[in-house]
Amino acid sequence: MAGAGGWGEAVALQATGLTKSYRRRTWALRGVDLSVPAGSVTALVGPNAAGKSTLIKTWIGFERPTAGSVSVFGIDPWRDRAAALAQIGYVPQSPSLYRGLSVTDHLDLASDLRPGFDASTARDRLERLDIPLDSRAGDLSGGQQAQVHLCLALGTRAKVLLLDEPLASLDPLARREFLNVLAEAVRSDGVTALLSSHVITDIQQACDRLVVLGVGQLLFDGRIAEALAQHGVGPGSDIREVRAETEVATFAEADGSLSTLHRVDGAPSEGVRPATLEEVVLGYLVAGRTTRRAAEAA
Amino acid sequence: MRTARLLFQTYRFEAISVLIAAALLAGAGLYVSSRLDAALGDRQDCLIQWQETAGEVSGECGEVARDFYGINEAEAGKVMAAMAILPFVAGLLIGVPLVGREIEHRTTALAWSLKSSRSRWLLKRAVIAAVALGVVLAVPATTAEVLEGSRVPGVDPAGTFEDYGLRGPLTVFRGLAALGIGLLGGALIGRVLPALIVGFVGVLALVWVLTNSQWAFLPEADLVPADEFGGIPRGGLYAGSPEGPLYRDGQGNLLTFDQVTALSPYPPDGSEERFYRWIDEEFDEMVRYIPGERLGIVVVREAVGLSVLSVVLVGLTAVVVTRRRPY
Repeated sequence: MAGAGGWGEAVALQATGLTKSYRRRTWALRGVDLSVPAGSVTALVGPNAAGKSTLIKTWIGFERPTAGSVSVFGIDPWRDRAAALAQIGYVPQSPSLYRGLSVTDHLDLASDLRPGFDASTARDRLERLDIPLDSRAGDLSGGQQAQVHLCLALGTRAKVLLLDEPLASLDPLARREFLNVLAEAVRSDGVTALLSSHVITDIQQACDRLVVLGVGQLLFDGRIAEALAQHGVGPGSDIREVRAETEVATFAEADGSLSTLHRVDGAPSEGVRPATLEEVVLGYLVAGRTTRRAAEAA
Repeated sequence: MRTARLLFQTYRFEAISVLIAAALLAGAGLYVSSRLDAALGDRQDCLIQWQETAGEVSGECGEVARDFYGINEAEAGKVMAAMAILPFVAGLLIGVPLVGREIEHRTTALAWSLKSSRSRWLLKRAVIAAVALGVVLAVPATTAEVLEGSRVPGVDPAGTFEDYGLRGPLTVFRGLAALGIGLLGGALIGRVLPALIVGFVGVLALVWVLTNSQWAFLPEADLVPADEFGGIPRGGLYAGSPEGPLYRDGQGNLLTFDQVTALSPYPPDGSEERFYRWIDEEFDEMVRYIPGERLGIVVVREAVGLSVLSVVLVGLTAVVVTRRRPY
């Protein structure tokens, strides 16, 4: 699924040398350089505490960078929060709805808070999802709450959607419905979306770009199609050893056997099969961990 | 109106609690006022007799006065004590969750991602809350004025320092200051219960400051000879004097006790009796006295002070809200 019209040269989200530390001890992000093209749907993947939420929150102005800068269509959210926010629709990690307010009240609230909020479209989307508009948010399921959040974010008609692990607590059906709504919106409105998630199958279904973040550092940034075409997997022998320049990392498969992720240029060599997206992600996460440990040991 | 409706729905527990407390207190004020009026009837002379004889009044008049003072102390006193607390409790109860609970429940992540200006988000809800709180508090504040009229018959409540700050517009302004304290506490701490505790400490500090800075609000006092004064007339206020007792000599000069002592041919550590007789012969002891008619000046000054404080507190809250994380 690509954004309408494909990617242009415009950069929707940018991070330059982005560093974020908490109380000068815990590093959430270390010198991240990242550009998210306008019109793309980018998956942001990484283990817990990789800094995915922090990265998203710096773009929406919830976290201030310790060093470096971020921008949304060239606007620094800490210098001009109003202009940056006008470009962004946000779905937070945990439901942040008002438990005592109904879904309709939330549409009113959004209309009150955001000039130009498209309440009728948001209402239509919610009705199509069979979400009871008169129900209090506290009475909705996790999936329904996530859908309400998404419809509120889409109702802003923002050019950028920041989705901070909205699928984490949803069952497969709810995840599928959520992604369908997102896909439809991206197709019809051509928005840029950044979706942070752990669920690789969802990413493959919904996204066209992949960003892998490992404990504050950018490990991979590219198109998913290219990631799949340029990587292969062969048998691995030692999880700690990277023997050739083309090897990314060796990791354990679900059955305990070792596999090595290779960068391939053209046709895979003998004994190397095409990698799945999950293997690409796993390989880069292991590579990032190995590099970090080596750096710490040094 | 939409914002007000949504705010009310979000904070209906707090809003209804304050409404009920204010309505109960207003009702209690009117009820006790009617009981006082009924107990006294047109026998104000009985109260005068009671005061002149220090309660040694017998017969029907004694009964009337006893009933009146009994209700005044047991019932009206409790209503006024509640009026001392209501504005602060109501202000905190409304102010703390207005930002504190939003942060605690993480609803700020939704609100602050939708609203381009957090300051305006805060200001809008703070103004709505302040207006609503002001209107609600104005009701018991008014009935407390009525009650005061019954407690001190024959004296205009607008012209007496009795039950100062427990009735009338000051209760509203005190409530608004407590609202500001609650807002700031909630924004700083981001948790309702700890913010309520901190807000309570803040309110205690405010009460202490108000109690100890009354001199700043008092208008100029009259200098009245203590002999002619013969006790503070009802409604007025003995303003005290930072330099101690004051004495006026035959030429009209005003002297302090130390200055008088320095002039005395009888040092006070020698013969105090002769010393004080000499003072009585040579000087008029003076007291500073603020007539009850000047209550309005004090009320306006304190109201302005509390308004400034409230605005400063909301401004500080805006700074916190603008800079802090929404969780």
